[in-house]
Amino acid sequence: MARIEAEERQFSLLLALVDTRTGFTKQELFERVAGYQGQRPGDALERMFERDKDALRELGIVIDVTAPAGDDSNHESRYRVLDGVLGSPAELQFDADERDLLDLALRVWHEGGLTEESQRAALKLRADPEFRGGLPLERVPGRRVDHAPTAALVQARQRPREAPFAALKRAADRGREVVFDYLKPGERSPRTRTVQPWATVLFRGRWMLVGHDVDADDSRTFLMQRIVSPVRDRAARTPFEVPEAAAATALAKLEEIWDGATVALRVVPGSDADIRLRHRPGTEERDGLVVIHHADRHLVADELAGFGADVAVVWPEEVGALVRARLERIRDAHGGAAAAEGSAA
Amino acid sequence: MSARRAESGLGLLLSLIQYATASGSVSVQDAAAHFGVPEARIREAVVRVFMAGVPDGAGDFIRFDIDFDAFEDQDLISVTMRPAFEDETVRLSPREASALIAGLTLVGDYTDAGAERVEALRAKLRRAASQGADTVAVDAPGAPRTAQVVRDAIRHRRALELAYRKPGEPTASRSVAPTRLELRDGQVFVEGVDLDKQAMRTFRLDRIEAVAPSAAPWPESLPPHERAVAGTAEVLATPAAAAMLADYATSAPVEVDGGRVRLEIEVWSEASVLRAVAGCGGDAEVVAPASLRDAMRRFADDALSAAGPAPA
Repeated sequence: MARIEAEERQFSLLLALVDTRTGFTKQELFERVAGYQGQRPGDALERMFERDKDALRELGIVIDVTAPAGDDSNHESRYRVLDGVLGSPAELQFDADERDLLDLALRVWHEGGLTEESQRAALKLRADPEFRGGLPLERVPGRRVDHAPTAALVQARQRPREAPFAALKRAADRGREVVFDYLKPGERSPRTRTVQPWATVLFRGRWMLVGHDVDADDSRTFLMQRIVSPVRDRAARTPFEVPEAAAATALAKLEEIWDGATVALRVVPGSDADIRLRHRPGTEERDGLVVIHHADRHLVADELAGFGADVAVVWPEEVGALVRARLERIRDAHGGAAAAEGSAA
Repeated sequence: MSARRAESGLGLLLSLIQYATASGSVSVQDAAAHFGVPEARIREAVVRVFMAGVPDGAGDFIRFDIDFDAFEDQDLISVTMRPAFEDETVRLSPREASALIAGLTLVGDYTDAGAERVEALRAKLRRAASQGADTVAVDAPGAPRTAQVVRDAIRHRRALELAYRKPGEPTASRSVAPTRLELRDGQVFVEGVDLDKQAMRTFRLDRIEAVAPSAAPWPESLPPHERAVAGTAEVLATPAAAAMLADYATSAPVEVDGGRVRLEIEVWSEASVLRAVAGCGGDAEVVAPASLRDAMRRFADDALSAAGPAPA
């Protein structure tokens, strides 16, 4: 019941905000929007208004607030839907080929990560009666072999197992700082970080958070997989703005690091490692060695330890030592050298 | 959870207004199929938008209206009056557009559409989004030519001859009727009927060394999918390592001593499990079965011998 009332109230609020050119004050909204009318003024009503604005923001409806000059109280602030939130329906109409591609793109996020965003996008696209994308395949028409949707042939899934994903996005939307414990690659114990979240980036199959590390006072990239505590959010000590093109800039920087960082390997020909490393972006053969690229020496050391005896690091020695240390830890943890000497007792 | 969230809120109401108007007259049944929601949800939304008191403020609003008799008697939605959103629609939010653009970036190369078409569509999506920070980006994986050959074979139902190399084995020729190309978290798999074994098999695209057309006929029916799992292994890991193994886990991680967690993982092939555990760089330990634990130690011993001693 509560859901239905909220839906009706938010719809009513949206129509009021769309209808006005000059904006309504909060008081005016409380008087004219079904669902606020008749409610007693006070904290409960204020909280309801805040929740409703959040619900609209989730749909991409940004509410513009303007306060008269010199007035710090929000009594006279006027609310309206920001220009540019509404567009022509034609902008969201696509031809058959485009619909086929969008259908496939939507399915990438079926299992997580950008699931909510893609479902909301699909809902908006379905305003066009021709758009059937993202629905279960058996309900998609046109399944004749030569007209089968591409999604029937190619299935893509990107599963972000990374639990903090949703919490980070929510905080980023609301301009709040996040606090979490982070286990930096190569370190043994986590450290608490306070970050102004800017963007999420998927690079070489790993989701990352890009933001401003408040304590380090610099921008940093965090692997979501290595956030080991729940993500808490709080009001930012100092309000922050997300830099223009934060995500694209971070991605370009990662590509640059990848280009510049190399490890040379001796690889058992025809081994699984051989075949897989050759498919890695940027891999080349030099003097009989396989030279691969990476974005972090600790991460690449983990990956190389996973290839076991199929690979041996030739240079740089720093990475060779990191891989060796990992293998020694694996050996010792599994009753290797340490147990044999009786030190486990 | 999230599946219902998007469809249960205001979003459906807004989309339904446009949809019903564009359709002219549409049955509740068709609308429910179109949006992938129960018919009752559509009727509820219709009542919310078209029949309940939309803003009744100071009299400046007109109601949305439908043909009430048609709705009651024939379950038809037929819009007669739409005072708001006449030529307007709520644009994609920056993040909704990002989700579509990122999805296209990941799969675009695997479709028949040319790179320019995909890029044009990405640009169109960017224009269709409201202003806002660019907060999601993904790198483009780039599809190998093999993937395109396989995709066309699936579309036209043609068998292929794959030169395929399993780990630790020489290259073998396999006759395969491919049924699906799967992109899973950056890895590409070909699913299809192994025509010699008459069984469904999954092949890793990066282990296919060559691909050629086959004279073998397309199978009349597809054999059922079987999945051979040899058993499970018990692993102790740090939370970060457990997250890396989550794809193989059959149980939720349970916290044990000193911040480590215990989880069970599927053993579908011993070699693959050893690699996955070793890829955690020593932050994961096989506890049972003992044979797998021994194999893990030998794996590390062999790798250390291959690596040679540390330079003095």
